[in-house]
Amino acid sequence: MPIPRVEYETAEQQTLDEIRDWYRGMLEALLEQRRSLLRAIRDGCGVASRFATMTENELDRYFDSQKRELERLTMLNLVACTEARITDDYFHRVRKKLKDKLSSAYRKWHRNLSAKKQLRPDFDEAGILAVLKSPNLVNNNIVGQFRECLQGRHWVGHGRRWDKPIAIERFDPDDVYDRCNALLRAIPALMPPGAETST
Amino acid sequence: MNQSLNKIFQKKQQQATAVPDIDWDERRTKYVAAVDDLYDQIEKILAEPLAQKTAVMQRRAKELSENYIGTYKVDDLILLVGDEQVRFSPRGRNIVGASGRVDVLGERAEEVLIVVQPDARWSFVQTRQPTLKVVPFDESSLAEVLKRVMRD
Repeated sequence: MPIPRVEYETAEQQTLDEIRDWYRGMLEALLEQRRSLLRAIRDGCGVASRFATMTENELDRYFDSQKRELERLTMLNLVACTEARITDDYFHRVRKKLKDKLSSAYRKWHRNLSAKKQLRPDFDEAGILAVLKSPNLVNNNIVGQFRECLQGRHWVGHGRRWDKPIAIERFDPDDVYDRCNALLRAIPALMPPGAETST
Repeated sequence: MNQSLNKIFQKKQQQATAVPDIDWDERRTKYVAAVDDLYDQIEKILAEPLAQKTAVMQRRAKELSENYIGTYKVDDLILLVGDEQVRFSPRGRNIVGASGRVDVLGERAEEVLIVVQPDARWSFVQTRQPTLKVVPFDESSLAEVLKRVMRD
């Protein structure tokens, strides 16, 4: 059964907490920059020339758009991180021929894939998430809540070249973190990040 | 009032007293005066075409609202040349790196004028990046800008 290689020496997998921490740090930096520009207007101090001549309204619009961009990239990163964790866990269970209910469901599904798909199985529709939704494996509501985040992730990750999904405006990084975290926690005996490469 | 709210307000007041007071009314007054002075300079530069009626100037009152300063009245200056118009439109006193701004809005392009106190001299912004470059407002820079913002 073809299974992809696992020894990615230069992989840089992140955890959801690391991504959220990065987001919060960047947001703080952005807010501090906005505060310092408003102080500069008040005190008449010099500033980086990229902001020179901006009105307060223009600053507001600039920082709104920077925050939106930061949120979108964070949400992409959170969902991509979750996909990676689930996919790694999937291959780990198939490779190790684990016997629990989820591993058995994965192995059964994997056996019926083409050789090409066995190396790169689908993730969402008719993919790994569909297996997770099988009865008595993972709470379907949790899987469904995570799947709602995928539209925005695909839109950002593929260059935003089609109409913006409405869902992306409904979520913020904290929502997406909660949904991703809930799914990872709902998967029984999920392999810890990077565990496969160290074995 | 809730004690913790009380403490927050007291702390904020102490912080505010540590910062020198800013006379926002004075800032507004100086900005409006600088705009008036700019319009006077434009009128002087364009005296000949205005006398020959090849150009017409109108002022149109509008309101601006800014933080701390509040809402105040200031004029747009409309320059009518043939079937075209160029609008000098004040954008506000609270500007990053300047003491006020007026946009020059033509049918082909837009330019920005900024004023820097204390000498209240107006300059056209040439570039913002990588560095802020300005050219002083005078007859020749006004002519260049009008050529750029108006149709060919």
